[in-house]
Amino acid sequence: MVATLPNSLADQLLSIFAGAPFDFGELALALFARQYERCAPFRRYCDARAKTPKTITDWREIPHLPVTAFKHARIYSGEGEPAHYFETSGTTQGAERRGRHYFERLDLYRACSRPIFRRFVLPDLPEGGRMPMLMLAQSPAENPHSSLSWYLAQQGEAFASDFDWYVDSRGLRLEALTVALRRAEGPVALLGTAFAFVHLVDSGLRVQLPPGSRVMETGGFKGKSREVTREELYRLIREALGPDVICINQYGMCEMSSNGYDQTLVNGSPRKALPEWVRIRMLDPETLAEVPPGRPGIVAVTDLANLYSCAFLLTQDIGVQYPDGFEILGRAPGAEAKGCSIAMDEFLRANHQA
Amino acid sequence: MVPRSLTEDVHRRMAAAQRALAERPVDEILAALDRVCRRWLDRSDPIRQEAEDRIATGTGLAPAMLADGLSQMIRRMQGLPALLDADLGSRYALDRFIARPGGIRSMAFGPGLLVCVFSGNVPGIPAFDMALGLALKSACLVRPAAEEPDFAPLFARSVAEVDPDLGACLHVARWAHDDAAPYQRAGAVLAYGSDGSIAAIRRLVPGGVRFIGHGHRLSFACVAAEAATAETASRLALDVAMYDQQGCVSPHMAFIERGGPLSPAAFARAVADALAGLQERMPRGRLTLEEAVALRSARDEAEFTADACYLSPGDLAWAVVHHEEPDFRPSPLGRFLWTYAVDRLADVAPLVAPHSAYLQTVAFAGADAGRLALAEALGRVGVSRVAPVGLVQEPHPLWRHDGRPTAGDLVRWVDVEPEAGGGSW
Repeated sequence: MVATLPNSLADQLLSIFAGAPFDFGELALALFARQYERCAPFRRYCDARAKTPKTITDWREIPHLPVTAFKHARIYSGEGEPAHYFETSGTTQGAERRGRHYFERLDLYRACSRPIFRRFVLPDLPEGGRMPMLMLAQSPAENPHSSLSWYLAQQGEAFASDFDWYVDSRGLRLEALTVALRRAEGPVALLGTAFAFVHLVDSGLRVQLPPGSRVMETGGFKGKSREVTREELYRLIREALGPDVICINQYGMCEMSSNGYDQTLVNGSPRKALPEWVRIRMLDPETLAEVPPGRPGIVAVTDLANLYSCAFLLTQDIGVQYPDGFEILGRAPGAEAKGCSIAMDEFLRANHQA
Repeated sequence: MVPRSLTEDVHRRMAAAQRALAERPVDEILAALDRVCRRWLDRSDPIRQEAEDRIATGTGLAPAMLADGLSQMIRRMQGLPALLDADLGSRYALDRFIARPGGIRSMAFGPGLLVCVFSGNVPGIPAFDMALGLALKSACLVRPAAEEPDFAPLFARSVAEVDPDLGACLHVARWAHDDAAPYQRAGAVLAYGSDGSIAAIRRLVPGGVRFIGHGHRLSFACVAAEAATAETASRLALDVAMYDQQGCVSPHMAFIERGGPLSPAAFARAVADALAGLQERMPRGRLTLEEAVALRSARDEAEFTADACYLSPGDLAWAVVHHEEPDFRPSPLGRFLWTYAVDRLADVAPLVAPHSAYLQTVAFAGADAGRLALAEALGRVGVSRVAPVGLVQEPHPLWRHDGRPTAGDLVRWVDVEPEAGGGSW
């Protein structure tokens, strides 16, 4: 079925993004069959674990490919040559290899990104309404392989009355940003990387944004700004932009097509939720068995929108699942050895600092 | 509850006990310490049993491994008389002036008060340093690690039971990290820990007080072609497994010379087989979530980059990851060994040289002819100890930890020069 009608999965996903009902487990197994067949590195990874479409009947048994695989292998399950790829940013450990996420076509990615964004970031926007957006990220023209820039452009085109980019290769364009913020007459949305917001709050800028204004930030600091806790960042943002500014964190990564968001604007919960076509499970890093709700584990994502790469991902993040959403405790910092021995990650950090 | 500072009473009692200790002959102290050793080497001794139980529970390390490790630590302590003779010329320099070449007569004084700050990675370490302090006729104020708070007080108790006057010279307490008061009366401070903790402690120690910090260190193994056998692999596995690789002497990686009975890749597999075997007698202990994620990530990375991976199935118990192209990469620890093939062991020194500040022990297997040449090349770039594979966890009693004289660094000498002066030199 899958092999003879290769586009049926794409069509089904498009209808799901538009709200059509579906069976998650069934679709996950169908994607597994296709990606196992088409993506040799994923197939080898599964074979090494004796987990194949022939042996698996429950989608929860599908192996999750470590996201590091995107750095070392071509994780592609599309047909023909990919139309585009996005590249991971560097990590805290410096100039290592970047991962690539290949897309056969971008329409699927575009189609899944907009309803999620609207649901979690703009739920109060009237049908057909638009809001000014200020992007604290580089434009896709400047950074064509940044998935965040591309993602923000999609939202700008779909939902912004006007939008512009306030980060360039030299950093935050503070003057232009200040002018734009002072001009705001109604609610605005500022969207961008967490570290860009750190630079913003550290700049000393003070404005009072109109009520209903919101900030969506994502990603870590990755050595690009000082490190602050999310609570501290939000406090500083409200100090700089006004006490009523709503702050929402996005959980996403280059290797995913879909994103998770805080449900602040949906139901007041700061815990995160995902669209119907994404499931997240927290696994014990030792055994890769699912840990019970409330217990921290390594985040495993099944993102069915990853049709052209691999839908089954093992991240390096630590998270906790609760009945009303999940929380990300952060990128695993890398173990520190006890005492006078030095562990790998400490060593890499020390060398990076030097 | 951590006391903000030690009470004046503790200091007074320790000072009085130390004054009495200073009057005792070194042989008498060493004899008492030897009785302590014999108690600890008797596995039916109640203190030893209590230590094994509590440390195993507290650290999660395998009981069989801890039992082996404790005995190794005590055996090292038994070498104290030999160490004093080697480091000081004669242990009796602690009792009286001894003659040295050139007509000089010298006497050695211990620090009076030795303050020790221990880390929790290798239980049993405090035995040697506390005994050394006592042998140098000094009181010891000891701060054990939060991760392993049990051994030091039990050791102090065993000393007190064997020799109450000696026991009165020991005090074990956990004071706050930033409390400077405990260091104010120290004659010397000995600290183990991360580079960060060592720097933080150093800032609390008054200027002029001798400070010996054992910070971050990293060890590795070198296997000469002729020694690339399953037997060597099995001994190397023990070096890796002990303390779940958390010791500063634990090898992170092994360089294996090509051309031996086992190819480097086959040697890697043999180490993996041996680690799998050790898992039964001394299973790897518990991991923190961060440690587990670091191990998981390193394995994931290896599966897509290494030439061969030998990974414990179904868990993170052990891993050997092999590359034909040598590199220098510290391990995430927890029984995770990188193996690298090299054409000649002489290729290793240039590889490790950029990391000289961290280098410590090299586990070596091979003919003695190659041992000294390699030791010289590696010594030049920072290595301070070359030990036989399989024995890295049991340092020779004369070991100079991090290349410094262990007892020699803690004493202060008084030299009496002869009337005639040094003219004959």
